Amino acid sequence: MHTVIRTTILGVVLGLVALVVPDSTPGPQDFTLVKVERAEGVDVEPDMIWILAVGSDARPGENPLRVRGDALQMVGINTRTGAATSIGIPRDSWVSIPGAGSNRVNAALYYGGPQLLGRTVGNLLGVQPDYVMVATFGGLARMVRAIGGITVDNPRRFSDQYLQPGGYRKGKVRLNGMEAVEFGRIRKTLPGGDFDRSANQQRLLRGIHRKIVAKADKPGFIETGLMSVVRNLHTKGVSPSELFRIAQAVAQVDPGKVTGCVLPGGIGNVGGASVVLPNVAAAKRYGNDARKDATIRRC
Amino acid sequence: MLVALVGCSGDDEGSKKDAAPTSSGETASAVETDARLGVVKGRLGKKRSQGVLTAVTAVVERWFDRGYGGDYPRGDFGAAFGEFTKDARALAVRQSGVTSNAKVGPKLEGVEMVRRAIRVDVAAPNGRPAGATARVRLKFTMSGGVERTDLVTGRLLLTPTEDGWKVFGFDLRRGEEAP
Repeated sequence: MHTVIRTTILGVVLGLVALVVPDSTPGPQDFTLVKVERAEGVDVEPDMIWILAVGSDARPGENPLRVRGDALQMVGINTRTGAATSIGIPRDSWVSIPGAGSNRVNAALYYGGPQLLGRTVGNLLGVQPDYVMVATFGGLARMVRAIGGITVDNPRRFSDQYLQPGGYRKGKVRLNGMEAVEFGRIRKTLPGGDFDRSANQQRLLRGIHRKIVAKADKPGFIETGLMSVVRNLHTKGVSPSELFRIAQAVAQVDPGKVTGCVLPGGIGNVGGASVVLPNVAAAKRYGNDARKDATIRRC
Repeated sequence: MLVALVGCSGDDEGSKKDAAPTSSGETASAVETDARLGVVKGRLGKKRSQGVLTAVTAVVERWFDRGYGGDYPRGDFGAAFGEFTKDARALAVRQSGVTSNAKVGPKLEGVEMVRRAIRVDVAAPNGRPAGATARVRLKFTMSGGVERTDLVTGRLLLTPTEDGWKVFGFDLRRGEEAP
């Protein structure tokens, strides 16, 4: 073959991580995908899908939808161009939670489940999610293991005496199971604390996505993923055909068109507790920048 | 000028016993398409699996026929995407140099089909088809103002709707084949 022109697109569609939920391995509470009811909000382009990906710090026996969300990433996918972006929200960001006053952003999951968390983050960024996906740390570990591990590009060596005493070396690092989870959890030993942790969570998402793309051409990969999702994912208001389109949308994202920023802010003190005071102007700018094409030009 | 069509070989993966009856029938061309089930996930049963294969194959064949086959010279390829969703159709039109012969159609005198192959992967959670991936391979030779053989490969993504199976997305490559 001499010349190749490639076109990759999706027409109608939706978006994220659902298809990598492994078959039979996670517990029934490990992953939940909730379609957000849109009573108000921003006019989102039809080609865009927004998913709030949440890591839930639920312990065994706890309802993962009613604890504090520990990792928060708003992911946008442009199904027309194959671009995607992720906006990381530091867990301790002090924000207004509809109907619950002001609190850390992750408390919204505790107060009102995925819908309220979605609205809270959506209000901060000016872009409302179409879906909220909640994954427990245990579920994420099993998922990464099931897809054969992932590779992340780690900008610095770091460790944690409790979570990962051996640490992670600088450069391309292969992660499997809990190694991946801890990579996205460690905060105290990172120079930028919560901000650097959020950036590491984005590196995890990229690693997972690259693995999906690498397997997407394999016959039946998406179909197998869909079956797994239907068996293992709590899907509220999302039909199997919609899930199929979501899975295909994720697989069609071009790794070369993925951008990501972490919402900046300052460290503050509220009632004696250390919190992040998010840069609200930056939040709105990220939302405005990415709203129509899932691309943030400058963090 | 009418297209001349040649039957294709069937050396891809897939099972002969799962081959679908094909009927391109759009033009005077009766192309033999090698269409088979690929990976089927879920308890669909043989009869219903065959039903999905037949329905999806028909959609893909109509795209083959209207997008690349048919009479030449011509410049109207809008009918090629009749079974695409509205948004997918708009995107396909925008990429019509890959998704059809629209860019070269007015210069052509004819197209000879060399190979048409389709493998259909199906997901059927709860015993009902929810989506299908049609992996396609189409090879054809153009004559007239453009003289070359092209190969179109990739995937069409489909879901069932009230109006039958519709293409909601695609991932296609088109390249020139060495003579």
